[in-house]
Amino acid sequence: MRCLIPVHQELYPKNSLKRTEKLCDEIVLLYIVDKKLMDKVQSEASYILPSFALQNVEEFILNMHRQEAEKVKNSIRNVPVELRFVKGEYYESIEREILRNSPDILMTDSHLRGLINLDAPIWIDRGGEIRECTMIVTSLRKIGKIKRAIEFAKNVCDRLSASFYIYYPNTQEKNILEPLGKIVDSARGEAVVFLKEQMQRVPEDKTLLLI
Amino acid sequence: MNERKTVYLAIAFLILIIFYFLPQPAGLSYEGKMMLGILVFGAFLFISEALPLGMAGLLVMVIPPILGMFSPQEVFGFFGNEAVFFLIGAFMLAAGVQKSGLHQRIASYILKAFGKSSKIYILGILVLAASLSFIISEHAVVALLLPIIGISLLNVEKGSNMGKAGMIALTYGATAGSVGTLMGGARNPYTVAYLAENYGIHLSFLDWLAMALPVTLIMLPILWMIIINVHKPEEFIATKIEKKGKIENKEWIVIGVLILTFLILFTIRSWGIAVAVIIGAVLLFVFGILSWKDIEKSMPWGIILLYGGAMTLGKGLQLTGASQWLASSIVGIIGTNPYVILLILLVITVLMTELMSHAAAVALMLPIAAGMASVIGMSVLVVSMAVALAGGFGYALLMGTPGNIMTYSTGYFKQKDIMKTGVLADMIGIGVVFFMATVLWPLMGVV
Repeated sequence: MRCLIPVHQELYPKNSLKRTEKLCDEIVLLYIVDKKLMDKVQSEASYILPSFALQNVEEFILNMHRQEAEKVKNSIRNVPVELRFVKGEYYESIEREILRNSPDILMTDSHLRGLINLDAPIWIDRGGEIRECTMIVTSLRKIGKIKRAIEFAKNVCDRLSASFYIYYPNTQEKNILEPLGKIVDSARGEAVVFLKEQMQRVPEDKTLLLI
Repeated sequence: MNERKTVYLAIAFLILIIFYFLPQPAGLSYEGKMMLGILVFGAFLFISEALPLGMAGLLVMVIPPILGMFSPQEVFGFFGNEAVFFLIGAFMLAAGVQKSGLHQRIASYILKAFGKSSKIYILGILVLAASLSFIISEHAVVALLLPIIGISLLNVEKGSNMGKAGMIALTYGATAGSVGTLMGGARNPYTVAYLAENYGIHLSFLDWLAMALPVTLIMLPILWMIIINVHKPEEFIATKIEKKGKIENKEWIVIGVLILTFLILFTIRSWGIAVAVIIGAVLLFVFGILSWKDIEKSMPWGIILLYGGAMTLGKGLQLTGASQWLASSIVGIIGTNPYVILLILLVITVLMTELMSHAAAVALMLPIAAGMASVIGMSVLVVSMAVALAGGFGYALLMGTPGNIMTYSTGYFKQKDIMKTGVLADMIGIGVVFFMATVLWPLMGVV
């Protein structure tokens, strides 16, 4: 599985990075230096500072981030990592990387509204061991998509050695889902899986897989 | 200019138009009403950053002649003040320090002396940044020390408490030091000029030092305690900073020039504040430390131009009676208890300085504060100084000072980390200035 892991100074995906060894076959580590922030630094600096002070501020800060990016890369063992260092806006940079690299999954720790719009399955990791995960299906419309999502979710859960369940609260047409996985009466385990368009409110402590 | 900024600029002008059509309040002239409009217009521009601060300052200067409130000669005459030349000279002196590399030597000495443990090292960073802010503007100090402190923290993990504490100490030290002398920030000479121009109160370099330096000296240990208690730094091994050899001739020259400049500032009161720094700057030029190109490069024109706008606001509000009118109206609402008024002024100033540049916040608040002091019979000097010092804070938000943004951008701490220490530091800072204004300065005979 090809994993895309964005790293940002305010959004450091500690849990996701720990999970990579089990989940990923290869990793694209996208280290994003916030362009707006750097522009702000530059504009503040160029306005207030004499040029002696100005010249190396941005370069120095970028170098510090490059070193940090290398550190993060080296912290991942046993999985090949491609490091991409970009200065840009968080979502835009991820979007561009998804287009460029077509990752199988995007891994992060933070549940941000903007993630939903990205064109890749998203793993939002809350940390801890995952023994069971449940896919929550709220409607059987787009059954083809649901089937593909279940296959994908099963694969992810297998890699984590977690049991996979399906929770479908409706009583009608349950038989359609039965061949795809074990149906349960309520969401079980540490992770829940949703189709992005069917996502409902989820407990804060559960890891999320949005497909 | 992007779309958002264009909208902000349009809103700023809309504010002026609204003021133009507002009915004339009782006791306030047309000029006074429009001056209040320019005050709100300026405040909006400073907060929204629709224009660079210097440009906003220029705009504030040209509006009164356009509206027929003052003649161009009067408005541009506000700019002709010794404080402007003090600023120019001080920037040149600072450039000399940077060019000679003296700041690096000072940094290596202080950091070495404080390198005993991580907590003491944090104190060292605070002391270093504050000391340099006595002679160089606070923002430049952060930019200059960023590579030095950054390298010394190379072994420290991002997100670790030592990293957070170290970088926060850098910006806090510069902020605390900047209030200590007239050279730490443009708002300081502006305050001196404002008091001289509008109230005939003449402060020397030494007067400022006597009143303001205790704030720095009290704040530094407090900031240290806040930082090491909120972000308990882990023990670490500082990366050794490259050792400098013997002190070079150019460094001796800069040290000599600085000593001479301070001697003149301390002893010859009749020369005011600008003469000594200009002499110092000329000497750096004569001894070949600075070239004219260096001097051109070392001039942050934005700050100097902002000064023009600030003087126009201050003087305009005073001459049109707008500051008195506004002060009387506010006093009518909140009462005449001097302690309450002082506290409110300090709180508002600190809140404003969290949202806009220190100089802009002081420029907006000083005329109101001084007006309120004269309305209720408080010492204009005490209230103005208190507001000027509080205007140098801005510990909590990233936009509080460029130093906060620069250190944040290294990735060592998150926004919430600086908020945790900053809210506390701002509140204690207000308490310290309040104590100075109500206890210490009166004991020193300041009235």
